Amino acid sequence: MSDTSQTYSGAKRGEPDKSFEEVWATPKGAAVLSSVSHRVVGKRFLITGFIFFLIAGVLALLVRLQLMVPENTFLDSETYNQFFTMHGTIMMFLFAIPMLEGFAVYLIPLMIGARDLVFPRLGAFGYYCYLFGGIIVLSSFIFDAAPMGGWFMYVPLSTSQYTEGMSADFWLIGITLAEIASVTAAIEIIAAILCSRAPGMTLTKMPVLMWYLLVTAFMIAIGFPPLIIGSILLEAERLLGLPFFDIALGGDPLLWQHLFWLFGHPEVYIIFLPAAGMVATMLPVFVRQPLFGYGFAVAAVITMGFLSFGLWAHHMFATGLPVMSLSLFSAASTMVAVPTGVQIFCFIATLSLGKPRMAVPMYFILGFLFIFVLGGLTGVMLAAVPFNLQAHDSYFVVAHLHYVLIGGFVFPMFGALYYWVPHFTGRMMSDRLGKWAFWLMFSGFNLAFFMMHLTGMRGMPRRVASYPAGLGWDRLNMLSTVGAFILAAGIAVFIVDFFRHRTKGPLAGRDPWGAATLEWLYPPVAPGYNFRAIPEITSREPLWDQPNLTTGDPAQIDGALRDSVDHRRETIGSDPISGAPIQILRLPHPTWFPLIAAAGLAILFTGALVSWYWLSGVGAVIALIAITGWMWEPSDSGARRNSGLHDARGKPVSLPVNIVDRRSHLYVGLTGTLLILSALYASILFAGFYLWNTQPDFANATQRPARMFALFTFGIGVALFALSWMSSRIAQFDGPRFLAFAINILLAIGSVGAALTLFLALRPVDPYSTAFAAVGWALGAFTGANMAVVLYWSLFNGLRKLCGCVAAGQTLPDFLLGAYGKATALMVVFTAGAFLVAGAPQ
Amino acid sequence: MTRAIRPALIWALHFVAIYALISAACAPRQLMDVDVMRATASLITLGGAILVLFWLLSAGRAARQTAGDTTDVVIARITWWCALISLCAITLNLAPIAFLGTCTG
Repeated sequence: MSDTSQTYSGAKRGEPDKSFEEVWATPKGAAVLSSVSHRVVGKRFLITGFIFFLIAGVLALLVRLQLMVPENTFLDSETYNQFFTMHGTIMMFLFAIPMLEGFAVYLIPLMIGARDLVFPRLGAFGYYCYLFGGIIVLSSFIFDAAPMGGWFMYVPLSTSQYTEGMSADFWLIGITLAEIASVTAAIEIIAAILCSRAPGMTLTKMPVLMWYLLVTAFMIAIGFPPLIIGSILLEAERLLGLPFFDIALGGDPLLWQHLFWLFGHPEVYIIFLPAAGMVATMLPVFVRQPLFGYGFAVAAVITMGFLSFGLWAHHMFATGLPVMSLSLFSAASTMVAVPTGVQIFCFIATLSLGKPRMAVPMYFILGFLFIFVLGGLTGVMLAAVPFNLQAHDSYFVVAHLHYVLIGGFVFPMFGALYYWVPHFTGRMMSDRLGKWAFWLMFSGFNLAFFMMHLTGMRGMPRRVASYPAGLGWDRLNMLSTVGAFILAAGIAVFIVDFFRHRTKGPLAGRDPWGAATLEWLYPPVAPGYNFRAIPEITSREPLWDQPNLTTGDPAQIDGALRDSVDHRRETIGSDPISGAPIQILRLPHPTWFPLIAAAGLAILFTGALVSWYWLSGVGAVIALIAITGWMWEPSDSGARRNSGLHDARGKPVSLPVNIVDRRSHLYVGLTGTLLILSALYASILFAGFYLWNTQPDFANATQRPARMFALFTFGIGVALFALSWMSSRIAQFDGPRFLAFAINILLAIGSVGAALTLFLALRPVDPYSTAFAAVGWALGAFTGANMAVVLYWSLFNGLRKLCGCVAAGQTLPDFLLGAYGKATALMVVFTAGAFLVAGAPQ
Repeated sequence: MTRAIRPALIWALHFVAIYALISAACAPRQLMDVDVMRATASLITLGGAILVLFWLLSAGRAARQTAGDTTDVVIARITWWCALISLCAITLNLAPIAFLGTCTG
């Protein structure tokens, strides 16, 4: 390995004709769409998410207008159903999650001392998937085919038997495309927080928001796959007639509910936790004291992340589950109040440490505490089975969920917007208008939704388009509608203030709120590279405790990577646990590939929506070409560079570029990907076990897979595992290239062989005969899809070697292929094992 | 850091085990008698609770032995709280099986 910029062969040179600032500049004109900067992508998420919020808000107002008076004819039933369905769908999938992704994408690098996210192209790709998915969902209005089955799309209502036309398809296909953004964001967040922290930033010196986002990202990785699988199964039932949920063929509508709520309940915490993290970041700034009980808060977040997965069936208390199951979920639902309470206690204790400065974000924080605690209390009420059975599907539940979601997300979000908008635009928003916005929103919200508790207690069911007069609901509904419009007026004041401040808002000075975290190191708007040199961090509140960071020109602060000898975008890579600098991360420059790949996927999904499968094929080819181009850029591993850091004896420290070991950001990102794939696989297994257990007659009557071929598959799976292990080892020790090439070819052959034997094992089973058989095919198809990835990846790596595109030390692709291959091989072995067991005579 | 996550992971495994046991005993296939399920669940709960209790005590000891606000102390504190909450949650998971005589109450 070489230390000089001129001689090493491992990494290509960047843009030598450009200065450091130019290398990091955002492209101008239409080329801005090729930008992959986290600052650009983060703001796109925030703006698009906010636009969806406004659209969903208008739909809510129309729903409230309809319910304002009894027997109203303002909206017909069908339109009403479309509006409340789209309101919930947009708010949950196209507003809340993308907004938190926007904040995460924008803030993470700034707060942990990195110049960008570790996978900027993935962030841009996720954004475009979200945008195209949102457009597909929203375009259903244009075709008069807006979904109307509720935001949870319960079956059998959403099957083609009861929902003809394409309305449910718009939902299933559009939302699945948009969800790609969520799972890519999860990988991005996990890898960025663990692998690109500033020197000295141990896990316990991270800003507390990073803990919240890290836990949230893991929750997304595990929580979203059940819905993705559920959506694919339901769409397969609608398009292909596979009977996953068809009770006549051993399917079960409750399976959809399980898969949906396995996602749906953690989703509430996925939305709430980042918002609570933003509160935990802002609150200490306005109290001028560190957060009380950092350790307590982190423990509470971790345990909430786990416990929130044990609550899904409390949405299904009225479906006839065994009482013992109900009690288990009731207990878990009650238990989650404990870590939530610990967090709230930390916030209240922090408030008690000093006299809070009552700036606009502080109002929203107090609003959050008031509203969310009330929502949490009604949540504990609903966790009790007897009460739940009474309140089920009533407006009491509507009130509860809005108290939790608006209190737990919207109020902190507005506080966060007031707090971080100066960072985005360089100008302060109005204190006076901000307080107007808060009081209108706070009073309007409580008027609208507190009344709904009473409406629900008086027996008004959800999702009714009108109601008769004289049931005691009239006045309460009128007050709710008035409250909703007052709430909307508050949001309108915020929008006016936002546009006003772009020209008339006072310029924001350096660290305008007196914050402690690194994003405020530069005067807003901070330069595109975030940090000219990445500073060493010795405190959890660096801007309060490290005077060297706050005095003088921030561009002159000592730190890592001041020199830019290769004219590349770079940041420091850290050990995931200790945070010690271990590598220099090379980051991609602007590129069109993410946009083209996402557009290809959008075409693929649209083709499926309109049943033009040739169009799907075209989209798949476009996406595959773009992904190939994306990956073709050579790995930069195999070189060392001066990091700009010094050891204890004052000697310069050089670091490897893109290390090849398990601490690599790519390996951590791949681990996140494998977690998602495992959760997808587990969701199909769950479906299989569920149907086997609840529909034993149909399961017993299902044809058996061919055991001999299942045994072959098992054997090939074991061989694939061994080959993948060898691929990792050879890559790690930079072994002979011809050997690595031979293993690429063997892996390709093995994956084809495994797919073929798996198909032959499944051939005796008719997927249309029973739901259990269809799930068996789904399991095989999922395993086959993963083997297709191994095949593609192996051929890709082999081709690159044949073309002479791989220099010495550039072994990361084989190292990662080894890890992916091992996981896929395990999947093959499990699937083959399942077919062996299922194939046994009963 | 994995020390802090271990108790919650045990809770997750325990929850899955209890859910699976209830499903085995109460779903139409009826793989297991309720009394067998109850005994199995109790044993699993006992094992999980003892393990988490051990981690709770170890984390408490570690937090006391180190002074200041060092990384080790913060991690020990996080672990202690995670263990405490997980211990309560594991115990509560058993409650329905302990208190209800049959699948239907």
